[in-house]
Amino acid sequence: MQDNSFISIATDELSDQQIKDKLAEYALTMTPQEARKVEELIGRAPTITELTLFDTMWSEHCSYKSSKPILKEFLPTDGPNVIVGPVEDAGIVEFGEVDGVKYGIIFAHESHNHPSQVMPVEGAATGIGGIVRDVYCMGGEVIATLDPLRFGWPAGDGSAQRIDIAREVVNGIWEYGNALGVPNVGGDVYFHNSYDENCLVNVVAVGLVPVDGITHSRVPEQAKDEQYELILVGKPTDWSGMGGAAFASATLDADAAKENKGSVQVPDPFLKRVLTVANKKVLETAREMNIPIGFKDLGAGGVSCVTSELCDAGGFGCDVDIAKVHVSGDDVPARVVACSETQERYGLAVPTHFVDTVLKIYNEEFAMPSLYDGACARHIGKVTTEKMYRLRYGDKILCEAPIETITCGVNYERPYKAPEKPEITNEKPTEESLELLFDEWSSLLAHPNIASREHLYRHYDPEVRGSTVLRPGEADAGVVAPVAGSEIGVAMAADGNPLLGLADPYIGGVMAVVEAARNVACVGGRPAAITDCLNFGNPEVPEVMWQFRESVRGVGEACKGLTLHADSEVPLPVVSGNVSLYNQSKSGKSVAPSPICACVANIKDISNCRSMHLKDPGNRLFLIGAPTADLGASLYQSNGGLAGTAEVSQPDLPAFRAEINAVCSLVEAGLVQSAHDISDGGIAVAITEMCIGQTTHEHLGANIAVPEELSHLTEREFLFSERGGFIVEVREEDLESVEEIITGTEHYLFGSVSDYDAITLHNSDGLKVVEIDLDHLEFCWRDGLTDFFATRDLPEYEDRQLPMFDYDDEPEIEIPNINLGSSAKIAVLQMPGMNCEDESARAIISAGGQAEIFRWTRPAEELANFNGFLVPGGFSYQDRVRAGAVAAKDPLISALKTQAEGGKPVLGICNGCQVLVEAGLVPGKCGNGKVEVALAPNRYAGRRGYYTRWVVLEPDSRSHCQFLENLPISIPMPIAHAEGRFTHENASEFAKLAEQGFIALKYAGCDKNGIGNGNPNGSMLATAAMTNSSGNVLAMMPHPERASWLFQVPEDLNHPWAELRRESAGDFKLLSSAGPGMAIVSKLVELC
Amino acid sequence: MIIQTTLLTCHKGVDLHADTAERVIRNNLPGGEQLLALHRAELHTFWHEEGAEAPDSVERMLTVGRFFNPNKHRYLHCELKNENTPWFEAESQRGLCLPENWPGAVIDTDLSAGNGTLDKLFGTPGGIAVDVCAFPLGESGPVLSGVLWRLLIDADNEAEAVRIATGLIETRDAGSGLLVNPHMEGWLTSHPALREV
Repeated sequence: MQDNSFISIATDELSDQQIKDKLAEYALTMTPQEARKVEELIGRAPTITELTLFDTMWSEHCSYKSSKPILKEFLPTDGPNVIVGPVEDAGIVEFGEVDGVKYGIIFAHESHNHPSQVMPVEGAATGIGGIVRDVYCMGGEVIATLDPLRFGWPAGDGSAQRIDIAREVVNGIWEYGNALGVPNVGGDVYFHNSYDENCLVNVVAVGLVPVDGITHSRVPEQAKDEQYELILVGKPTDWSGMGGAAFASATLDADAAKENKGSVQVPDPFLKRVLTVANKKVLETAREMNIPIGFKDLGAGGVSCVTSELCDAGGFGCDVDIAKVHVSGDDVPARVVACSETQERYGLAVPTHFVDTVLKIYNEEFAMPSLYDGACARHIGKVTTEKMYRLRYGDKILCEAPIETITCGVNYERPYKAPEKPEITNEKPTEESLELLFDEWSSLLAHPNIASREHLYRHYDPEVRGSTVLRPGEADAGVVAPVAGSEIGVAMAADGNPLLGLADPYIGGVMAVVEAARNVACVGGRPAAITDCLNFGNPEVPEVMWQFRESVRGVGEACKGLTLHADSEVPLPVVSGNVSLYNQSKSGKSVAPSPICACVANIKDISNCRSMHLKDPGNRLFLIGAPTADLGASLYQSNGGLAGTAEVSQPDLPAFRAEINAVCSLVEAGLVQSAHDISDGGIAVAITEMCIGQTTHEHLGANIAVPEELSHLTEREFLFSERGGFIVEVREEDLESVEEIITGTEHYLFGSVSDYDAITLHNSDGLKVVEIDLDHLEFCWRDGLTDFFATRDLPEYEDRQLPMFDYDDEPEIEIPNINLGSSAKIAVLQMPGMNCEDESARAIISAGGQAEIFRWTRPAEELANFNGFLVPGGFSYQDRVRAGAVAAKDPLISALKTQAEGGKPVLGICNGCQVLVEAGLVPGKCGNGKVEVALAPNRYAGRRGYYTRWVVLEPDSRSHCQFLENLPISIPMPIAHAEGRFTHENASEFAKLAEQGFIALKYAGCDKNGIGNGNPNGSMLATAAMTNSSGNVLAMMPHPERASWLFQVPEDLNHPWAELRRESAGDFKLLSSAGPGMAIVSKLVELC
Repeated sequence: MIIQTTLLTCHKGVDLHADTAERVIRNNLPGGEQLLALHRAELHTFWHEEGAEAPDSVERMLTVGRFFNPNKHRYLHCELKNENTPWFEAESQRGLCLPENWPGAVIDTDLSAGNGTLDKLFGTPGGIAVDVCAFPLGESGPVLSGVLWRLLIDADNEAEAVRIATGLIETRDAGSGLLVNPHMEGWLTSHPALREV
C-alpha cells in the first residue's frame, strides 16, 4: 500500500478550493485558512501527517476554539479546595483525611454524542472508556460513573430506530462499564424530539486518589537533569477512531453514516481492565521507588497528541519514532499510526533507568501480548530539552515543528445573536376541572421524562467495588464510601433540563447547577465542585453561539450564587468539563441547548444518608423553598396542560443557596428521614416518588395541603410548578430542631406521612381537593418507560410484581461475627478481566482470614501454599464465547481443581461461579472434569441482558454443602449478571442433582418448581448456588461481598436486614458492622 | 412450503470473541494447534409460511438498528424455501446437519468476494472449513439469534478435519471443547462429513 504520509502540500501554491479538495481526500475537516496557518507556523509546506495532526489538535473537540474565551469569561475554576483545576485530564478537589492520608476526588466529564448516534454500542462504550482513562491517568481509581443521556422522542414515526439507539447506548454503557468494574450510581435520561437525529451520551467519572499519589499529565521537571523516555502501552494502533476528533466536531450527516465508521473507536473493556490493574502496579512501583513520572491517556489525536501534550506541559520537546509503535496489520500508514484514536492506550514519560521495569510489568507480569494480538508496552521515543516536536518513521521526518505550535490551538471569536423571543402569553392551565386533576397527575407520572428509569438502570452495576451506599433509584444522588472503614463519603448527581434550555438558555445553565446541587444536598452532600458538559448545535450559527454563551453565563452565575461553603463568598469551582458542539444534523435540526452539570459533594457521615422513600406514618413533611405561579418550560406544560407560552421565573440564587445549605445541615444533624428535591413534574411527582419507593418497598401515603401563605396559587400551580426546592420528612419530636435549622428559608409544614395507600391533597381552606390511589400512580410511573424498552414477552403488570415476604415469624437477625482472627490464608484468584478481587479480599480480612490476590501469571503450583480459595466476580475474558468458558480452560483453574479435590474450600462468586461450572468443579458429580450444567443467559420476562437487583436466598435443606452449616434461613444479597441461569440439557437430571443435595442456595419467592418473580434469571428450580460432591466447593451467582457490611444493604428492601439498616441511621458503628453476606465469607474462613 | 429468512452479520473490525476463542483453543485445547483460523458471524433467523405475511420483526431485523448496523457489520441476507420444518426446530439439535443449501439464496448483501455463500462472509478458506451454527435451547421469541462459527482446520482430509473440529466445538469436559455448552446450546453443521462423526 502506498503511504502518502510524507507528501507535502504547499498551500501557498493552491487556491482555497484546491486545498479544500486536497483536505477532503484525506478526510480532514480543517478550513483552507487553517491549512495556510499551519504552513505559516512551521515555516514550510506541511506534510499530510502534519496536516492530520493539526486537524486533530485544532478541532473543536481538542482545542475548544469557539468556546474557550466564553468559558474563561464566565466560569469560576479556582477555590480553596481545588487541588487540580481544569488544566489536565481531570480536576481534583479535596476529599478528606483518613488515618493520616489526605485524599482527593477526581472528577471528569465527557461526551460521546456523534459516535453514539452512528454506532450506539461502541460509541457509548468508548465514551465510558475515554472518561475513566482521564481519571486513571491522574493516578486515581474510578469509584463511580454517572450517565446523563438524551434521546429522541420514543413515540411516533421513526421511533423504533430512536428506541434502538437508546437501547443500544444503554447496552454499550453496561457492556463496558460493568466489565471494567466501575459502579454506575446515577445520571439522568431525557427524551426530546430535538435529539431525534443527535442523541447525547455524556459520561461523568469520579475517582479517588491519595493527594501524595497524584500523577500529572506532564513530563516531570526532573527531565531537565535526567534523560526521560516515552513509553506507549496498550492495544496495537489501527485505523479505528481515525479522525474521531474531527468527526466529533462536525455536523452529523445521516446519509454519510457509513463513511463515519472509521471514526468510531472499538471498545475493549477486557484489555482496559487488565491495563488498569497493571497501571496501578506501575504507579505504585514508581511511588515506592520515588520516581516522578508523567502519565496520560491516549484520546483524540492518538500518539501525536499524547506525546506532544505530555512534553509541552512539562516545558520539553520530544523525538518520537513511529516505526517503534506497535500496530495491527501492515496496512496502517504512518499518519494513521501517529493520529489514530485507537482505544485502550496510555503514554508514559519515565526516566531511562525505569524503562525496563515498566516494560516488564506490562509485558511479563500482566502478559499483555498473550491477551490480544500485538498488545504490549513499547519504548517509542525520548524527551528532549529542545522544545521541538519531532515525529519520524525511522530516519524519515513526518513532522518537525516547535512543540507549542501544535498544542496551542486556535481561537475564534464567533459572533452571537439572540434569537427572536416568542411572545409570552402567560396562559393559565387550560383545564380548571378538579375532576381531571387525577388524570393529569397520572399521565404526568407516565410521561417518558418522569416515569421510572428502573428498566434502564437495572442494566448497570452500581455495586462493584463494594463501597456503594445509595444506588440509582434510592435517592436523588448516588453515594459511595470510597475509603473502607471511614465514615466520610462522596455524593454525586448530574442534571440538565432541555425544556429550560429552550425557553431560556441562561436559566437552563443556572438550573443545571442548582438541580445537581439540590440532588446531592438531599443526602447531606456539601457541594464541592461542578463539572459541566455543554452540548449545543453549530457554533457558526450566531443564534446557537448566543445560546451557548447564555448557558455558560448561567452555569457561572449559579456557581457564584451557590458558593462553595455556606458562609463564604467563594464560588463553587468548575474543575473540569467538556464542550460538544455541532450537535446538529444536515437537515439543520439542532439539539436543545443542553448544559449538563454534575456535582460532587463531601459527606461527613454516611450513616446520615437516607433513601428518598417515606419511612414512618405520622412523620411530618416540610416544603423547603416555595413553588411559583409560573408553569413555563414545565413538563406539565409540555404534556399539554398549558396552551401558548409562559414566562420562566428568574432563579433566586440566594434563596436556593439557603435552602441547599439548610437541607445539608438537617441531614448532617440526623434529622432527615427522607428528602427529595422538587424538579420535573413538581410537588406532585416528588411526593408520589417518595410514597411509592422501590419495587420491594411497601407504599406509605401522604396527606398534603396547600399552605395558607400560598393560597394565591391554583392547585395545579402548587402541584406542578418546577421552581420549588425540597420535600423533607422529619419526626414529630424533631420539629423544633428542624425549625431552628431552616429558619433562614421559606418553608412550610405542609403534610404528614400516612399508612393509607393514597395521596390526599387539601386546598388552603382545608377542603379535600383530590385523593389518588397509590397503586394506580405506581402503575403509571413504573410502566411509563418499560413499555418502550421491554422485550415482547413482557407479562401483564400484575404478573411481574416482586414477591413481598412476611418475616413476622422469623428469628431476629444475628449479625455474623467478624474479625475472629484466623490463620486461614486464602488466595483470591485474579483471572484477567475479573474485577471484584479487592472487595472480596476485604471481606475475607474482615471475616478474620488472610487474603492474597493471586494473579493468573503466577506459577499454578503456588496454590498449594493456601488453605482456601475465592474465585471472584467480574468478566474474565469479557465473557467472550460464554461466561467463564475461556478462564475455565486456564491451567490455573486445573490446579485449583486439584486443590479442591484435596478438600480445601473454594468459593466462586458470580463470574467465579461461572468459571467453576465451566471447569466441571461444580457439580462434579461424574468427576473427570465433566461439564454437567451450564449458566445460560438470563431469561427474565420483559428484559434481556445484564440484570442487577437484590434477591433473597434460602438454603436448600437437602444440600450437603459445608458452607450451609448454621447459615441463616433467609439471606438478602445482590445479583449482577447477564448469564446466571443454571440449566441442564435434561431438566429431570437437574432435578436429580437437587435431590442429591447439589443445589445449595435457592432464590426465595418461587414455587417448588422454581417459578416465580423471586427468581431473577429463570434458573432451573430457582437455583442460585451449587456445590460439589464433597460440599467443599460453593459456586454462587449472588455477591456475598456486596452484602458483607450493613451499609451495603438497601434501606427499602423487604427484609429484616433493611430494618436493621434503617435503625443504623446516625450510628456509623452499627452501619459498618457485618451484613448478611458475611455469613458466607466467614464460613469460607472457618472451613480453612 | 415455508420461507426461512436468515441474516448473518460479521464484524468489519476485529471480532474479539473469535480472536480470544482462537487463542485459547490454540494454546490450551488438544488439537488446537491445528486450528488455522476461527471466524464468527452473528445469526438471526425466523420463518413464516409462504404467502403469509411475515412477522413485523422481519422488517426490524433487516433494517438498520438492533440487529444490523452497516457501520460495523458486513451482512448477508438469505432465504431458504422448503417443505420441512425450520432447520432450527429439529427434534434433537446436536451435531445434526443444516439443510444442504443452507442458508439459502442470497437476497441482499454488501459482500461480493468469494464463491460459496458463506465464503462471501468469511473469505475463501485456507485449510478445511467446518461451519457450526450454535443457538440457545428453548428460545421462543419470533427471531432466533445464535452464532455461526467457521473453523479452518489444518488436516490431510475432511474426516480428520471433522474429528479435530468436533473436539474443539462441544464442551463436555474441562479439557476439551469451547464453542458450545450442550446444556444450553444446540448446534448444527453444514458439513456433511460431520453428520457421520
